[in-house]
Amino acid sequence: MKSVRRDRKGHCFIEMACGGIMLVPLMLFGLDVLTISLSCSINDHLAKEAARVAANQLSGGAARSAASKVVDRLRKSPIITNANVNKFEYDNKNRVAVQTELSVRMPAPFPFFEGTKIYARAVEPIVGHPVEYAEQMD
Amino acid sequence: MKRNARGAVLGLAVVLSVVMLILIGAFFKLSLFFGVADETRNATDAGALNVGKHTFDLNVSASSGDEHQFDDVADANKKFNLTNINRVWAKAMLANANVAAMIADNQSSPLALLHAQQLYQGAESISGKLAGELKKPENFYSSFDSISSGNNVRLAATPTSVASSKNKDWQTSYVDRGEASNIDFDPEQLPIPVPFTNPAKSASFKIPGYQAIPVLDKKFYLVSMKDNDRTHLINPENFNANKLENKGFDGWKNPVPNAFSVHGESANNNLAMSWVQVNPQYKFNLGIPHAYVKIKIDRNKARYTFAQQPLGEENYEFRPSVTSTSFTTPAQLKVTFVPVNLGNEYAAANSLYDVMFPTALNAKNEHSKVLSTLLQRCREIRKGYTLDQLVKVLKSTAVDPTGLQNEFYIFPSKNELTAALASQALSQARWINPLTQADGSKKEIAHEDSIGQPNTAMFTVTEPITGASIGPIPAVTQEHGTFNWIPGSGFDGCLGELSISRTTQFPAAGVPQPKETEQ
Repeated sequence: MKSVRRDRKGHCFIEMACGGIMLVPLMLFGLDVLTISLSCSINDHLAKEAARVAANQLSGGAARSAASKVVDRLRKSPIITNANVNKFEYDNKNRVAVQTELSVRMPAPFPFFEGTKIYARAVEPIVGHPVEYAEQMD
Repeated sequence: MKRNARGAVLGLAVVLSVVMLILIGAFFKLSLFFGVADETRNATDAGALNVGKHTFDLNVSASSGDEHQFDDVADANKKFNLTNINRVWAKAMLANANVAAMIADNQSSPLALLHAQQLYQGAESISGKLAGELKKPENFYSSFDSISSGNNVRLAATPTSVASSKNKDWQTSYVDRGEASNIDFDPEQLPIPVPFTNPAKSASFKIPGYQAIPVLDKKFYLVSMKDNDRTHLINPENFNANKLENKGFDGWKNPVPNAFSVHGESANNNLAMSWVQVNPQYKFNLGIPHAYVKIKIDRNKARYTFAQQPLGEENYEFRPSVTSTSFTTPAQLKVTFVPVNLGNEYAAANSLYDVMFPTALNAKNEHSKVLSTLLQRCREIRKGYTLDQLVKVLKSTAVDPTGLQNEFYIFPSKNELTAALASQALSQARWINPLTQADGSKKEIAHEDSIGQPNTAMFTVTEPITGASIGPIPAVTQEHGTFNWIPGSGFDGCLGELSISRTTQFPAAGVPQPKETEQ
């Protein structure tokens, strides 16, 4: 009687493919995590810089404009698609608060998770104004 | 027997997946850790800037007599703070420079030296009190917290905020040494050259900060506060290099700092430090705001002599008059002066200027010396004061022609200098103490000499028994005026006292001749 042996050719390839089904999404997920993490850091720095620049201005209008310019200077890319000042609070001569919004597109989009918006807020004291000094009158 | 290799790759893939998951998790944790540190540092930086901004809200007050000498350079609430502390030191330096000038001109006195010392001690006392308050970190915790609390640490396990780390490690430093302070000055304000270097890149004259300015036997220091600079963060290397323990001040025991370090911590024990340099963006001119110069014009004297022996004196007014007078000499001669034309030097006098500097006396060069002295003192009250302004003020001040009210003050009023009779000045400038006297010693700085004019007289000498007489003869009048100056250091506001006295001498001489009889 002739024995029937299964063909062993290609079993590594199949195992690789099966393993790849686990590994590749994990790698892509890792890439997305890295992207979000770096974007958060960029947004934090952006908010802080915008708030710092705004705090050196002499009026609310100039402060808002300065903060927007800082945010607009951020280079856009297929990953960071948009950046803008989401909220702006100017407490005359006391403090300024800037909230920035970053639109991030995942390099490896997953279903129902192709991108996200990240927010960061920074509060800075307004130092652009001279001290309010009460002079004596003669 | 051969091992079965089937499923080896799959197993490896599973292991790799697990490792990758662990690595992703570790990376995520690490990014959170650095993110928390970043957020803590950002919040601490913001807190530091707010601390720097609010250093100018810390005030001290004058409590002793010497400290009250600086009431005129305090703010409207009579407080001293980091904004105006340089005014205190600048005033003390200027007053000491006045005394140094007195010594150079041989016009000093023990009182002036004492006043210079008192002013230095008063400035040092106020400055020391302020430095003490600025070095107390508890004065700044609330300023730090009010801003840092707005910067949340979101990446922490439990979102939290940064608060001030309440320890004694908050330190102070003295940066930008030799750079400008916030006091502008004009070299013409100084009574003598004062040795300091004008800071580089300074568009105008500025007294330097954190640089010893030696005047008399003392060293004066101001705080560096550059123009066009704001309260800002600085690097720790610069801060530490200029700390007192690394770079002291010769002759300043308790210097006023202009840089501060702050500590912040978040609830999960993340610590951060930041360093801030302060600047009020407010400047002042060098000067003694409440100061004055006193002018006293003695009553004019007419002095009559015969053969160089005094006959008598009388006062005359600051306006022309015609009078007559007679005297009896010891030899029983009757000397009559008639008419005596007095006060002609004041014929065109309409103002204090005309009375002080009558053109009829032709002493323009001498008068300009006096004006120069007065102008220098006026510049100590108001930087940039001009000769034209001084002349205008003197020309717009009325005088009492009788000369009974003869004391005047030049003093500041409503951002200008004005001159007025003493009674008016004391009611307008209530800070003037009429009992204060200039603390230098008197010296003549100018004089006037005029012969034959502008005052004239004719005299007659009569021998009453024989009736012999001589005259009327014109007297060769001699008018002599002196300007005496007593400099003041500025203590109690007195910058000096100018006194003017004029005497017109009418000399008579001659031997009476008998009258010719008709035949």
